[in-house]
Amino acid sequence: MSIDVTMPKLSDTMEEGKILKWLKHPGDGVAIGEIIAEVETDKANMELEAYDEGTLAEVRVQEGESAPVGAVIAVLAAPGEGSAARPAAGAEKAAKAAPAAPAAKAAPGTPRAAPAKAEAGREGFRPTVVRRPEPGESLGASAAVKASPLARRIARDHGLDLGQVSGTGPGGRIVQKDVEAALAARGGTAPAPRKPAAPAEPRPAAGSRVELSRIRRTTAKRMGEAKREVPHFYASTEIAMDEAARLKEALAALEGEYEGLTYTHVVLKAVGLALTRVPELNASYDGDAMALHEAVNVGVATAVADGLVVPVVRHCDREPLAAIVRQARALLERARSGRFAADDLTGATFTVSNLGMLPVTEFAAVINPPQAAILAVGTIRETPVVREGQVVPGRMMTVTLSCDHRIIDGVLAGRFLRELKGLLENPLALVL
Amino acid sequence: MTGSAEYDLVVLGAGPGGYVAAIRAAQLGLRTAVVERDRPGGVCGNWGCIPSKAILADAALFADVKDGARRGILADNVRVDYARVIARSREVADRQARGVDLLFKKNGIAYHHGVGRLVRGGVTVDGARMGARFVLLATGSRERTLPGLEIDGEVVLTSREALERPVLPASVVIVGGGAVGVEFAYVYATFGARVTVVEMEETLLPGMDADLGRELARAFARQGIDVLVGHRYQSLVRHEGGARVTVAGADGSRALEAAQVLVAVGRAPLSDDLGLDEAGVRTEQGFVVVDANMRTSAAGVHAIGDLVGPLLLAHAASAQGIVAVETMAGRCAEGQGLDPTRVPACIYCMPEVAAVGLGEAEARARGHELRVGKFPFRALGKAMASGHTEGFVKVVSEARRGEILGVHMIGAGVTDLIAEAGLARTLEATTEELVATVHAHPTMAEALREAALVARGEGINV
Repeated sequence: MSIDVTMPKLSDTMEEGKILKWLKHPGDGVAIGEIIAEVETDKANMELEAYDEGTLAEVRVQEGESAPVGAVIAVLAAPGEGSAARPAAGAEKAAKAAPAAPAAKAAPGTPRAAPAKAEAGREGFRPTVVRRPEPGESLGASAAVKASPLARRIARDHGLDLGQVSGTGPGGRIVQKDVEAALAARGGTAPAPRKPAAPAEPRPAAGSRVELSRIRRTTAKRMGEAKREVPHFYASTEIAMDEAARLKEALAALEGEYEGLTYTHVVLKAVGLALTRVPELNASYDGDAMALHEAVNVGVATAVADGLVVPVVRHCDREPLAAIVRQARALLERARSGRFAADDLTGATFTVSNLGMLPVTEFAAVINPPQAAILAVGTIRETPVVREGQVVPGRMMTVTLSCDHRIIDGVLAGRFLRELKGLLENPLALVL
Repeated sequence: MTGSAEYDLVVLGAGPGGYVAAIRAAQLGLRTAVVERDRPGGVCGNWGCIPSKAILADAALFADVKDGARRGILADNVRVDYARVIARSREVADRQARGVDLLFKKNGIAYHHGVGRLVRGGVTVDGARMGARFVLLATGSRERTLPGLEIDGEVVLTSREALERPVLPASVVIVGGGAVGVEFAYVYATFGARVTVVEMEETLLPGMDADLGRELARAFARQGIDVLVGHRYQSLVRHEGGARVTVAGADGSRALEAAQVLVAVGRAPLSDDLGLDEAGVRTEQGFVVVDANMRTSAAGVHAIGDLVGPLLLAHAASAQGIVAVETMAGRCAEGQGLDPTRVPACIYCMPEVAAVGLGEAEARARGHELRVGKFPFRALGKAMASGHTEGFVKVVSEARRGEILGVHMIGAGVTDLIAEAGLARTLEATTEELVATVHAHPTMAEALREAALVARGEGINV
């Protein structure tokens, strides 16, 4: 039986994808989780993972050609099928073990070498998106990178390109913990590096004409459509953040699973819970119907070097805050490297845009269709507030909800803001 | 703290932590003062590392001369003038203190003799206020003792009194088989005293790789030192001519007679009279609690060295002092503090003992799969030639990648050899790099490479 490989939808806005490169060729064995091709979408270059194992029987879309989402781009022969099919699984296991082989060979030719080999075999596959060198970057680039011998060895074992890792050792030398942080970010399981590289701020010369990046072109098209098509209305509220700030500081002091906790994470959790209480905002306008979404997946508008991307933090309603921190940090790391995993950019049901790190007191955001609403978060400012008839110092934050008036009315917006405000002003529910 | 402070930094304590921190602060442009109640140099310069090393060097010289006949060096009537040994040790300490004083002058650091105490916005020195943006607590530690072991300076001593007492006892019971205990055991035994070391744990040098303590116990047995491991001090009765010490082990208790009892049961932080509670500086069992950047729980107050435990090593205090001051100056990244597994520990009896990183048992307990390589000095040409064949070098490496988790050495001169292992840890070298490094022949340092070869299953000379 043959298995069709189709062009996946790698972002919500993706309509077609271009095959940049086939990493597997007809006759090659393919294991689950292996990268078989590189695909260019409207937002990023992504790597296409195999979801089935078998032998690549046929390539239908050649390198450089595009195919619409859902089109068959290749055909896999199931394992053991046909005479041409090699013992795929076995061959793949051998191939998997290959990168570790030099280590085993370098080790002494004594019985002690055996454990090393056994470990390499035990590792198995890891279905993650693998970073690959930027165009123009040679594979030899790692040799010129300053890195400790141990860091090199760990990177080699995991097929990690040291050119993609920023070093924190003396003189920017890459040390063990940098590689471990990069691997953790890649696997999305552990804290990202302490000092992620800030996106470069390009400064085009005045009077010049700068061609838009692929991301920017998509943003331009989509935001234009949204403002033309979707009747926006806006509702704002002020939220006292004193308690949330105390909670955030107390949790951050715990380090461990809350390492790197930010206000964005706190807001994401509050939004997730508020959406369960006002589910009408977790919805999409669909012609003559309103689609209410089961999952509460919140996109986070994120600035990257060449525009805006919206990676998605999943299940903000039921994931604990610590898990949201983990997800969000891993996404941010991948956003900055420009290498998203296949579903990082899909499935958002609501979006949060936080400009609180800048002196923006309030702003209104443009809805990201087909979502029904977006929350714009301003900075937390110290200001006099009146409490029980007394003027006292307080920490206030203004949020503005933009809603699609076709399916949402002002009262719903107000009810959502009431829930959100209550959750952030009495934030214990966010960690219970 | 206030913006118009007299100093950017006031350091309490001029030991190896405080004086190094003060100099680094002055280099970074901080207006710096140091407050010391004794004299510069701290325990290390005055009552620890330096004066004890003078005595230990004399003991090693005496041992070599006595042993000379075996090698054809004949000397008659070799005796020790112990009072002179102690006097030379004090001279060395005095020189050390003057050296630190000169460094303060050279770096423009104000030096105040007196007792410092933490107050809001700075410190007081004998009651007089001194404003400071930052305060660095580096007051160190003092010798601990046990109930019933009241220190009298004649019969019952700590290392502090022993370093000054010019009389060599005929017999000594040493309570505690850690670094201080074994160093004094070697000194007293070499100069002719009958010595018994009592250690509560199952090996000498508890806390270090157990092979080191076991090897040292064997060497001590050859030197005629009695070692009682697994024995706990019970009680002491003073009498004419010394004391009777009762100790208890698994097989019952026994009484030990000695002219002198040396108490070497560790050190306690000097944190009592610093005004820590009032300033909001948190402590645990007397040790000041700090983060990786040596910050205490009170803003603007850092602490280092013996005061924060648990390393209790002069060079650790110095390194922590640099971290603290560079943090104040915004030059030290968050969390980039001192990694204790990169701090070597050295003991200067003969054979010497030195280690850096994890011991074998500790490395296994942390879940590492190991390859351990041990190379005895008796298989090394230089060791045979120099007549110092005791001991070994042990490399504990991670099985898969050869990461050097720990290096443990015992033998002549190993306190200098450990530096290479420290560099290997800092550079994250693996056994592959150690093996690829050509070591001069014949040297004692070859033993480290050989041990790394053994760990890789490629041993050449064993």
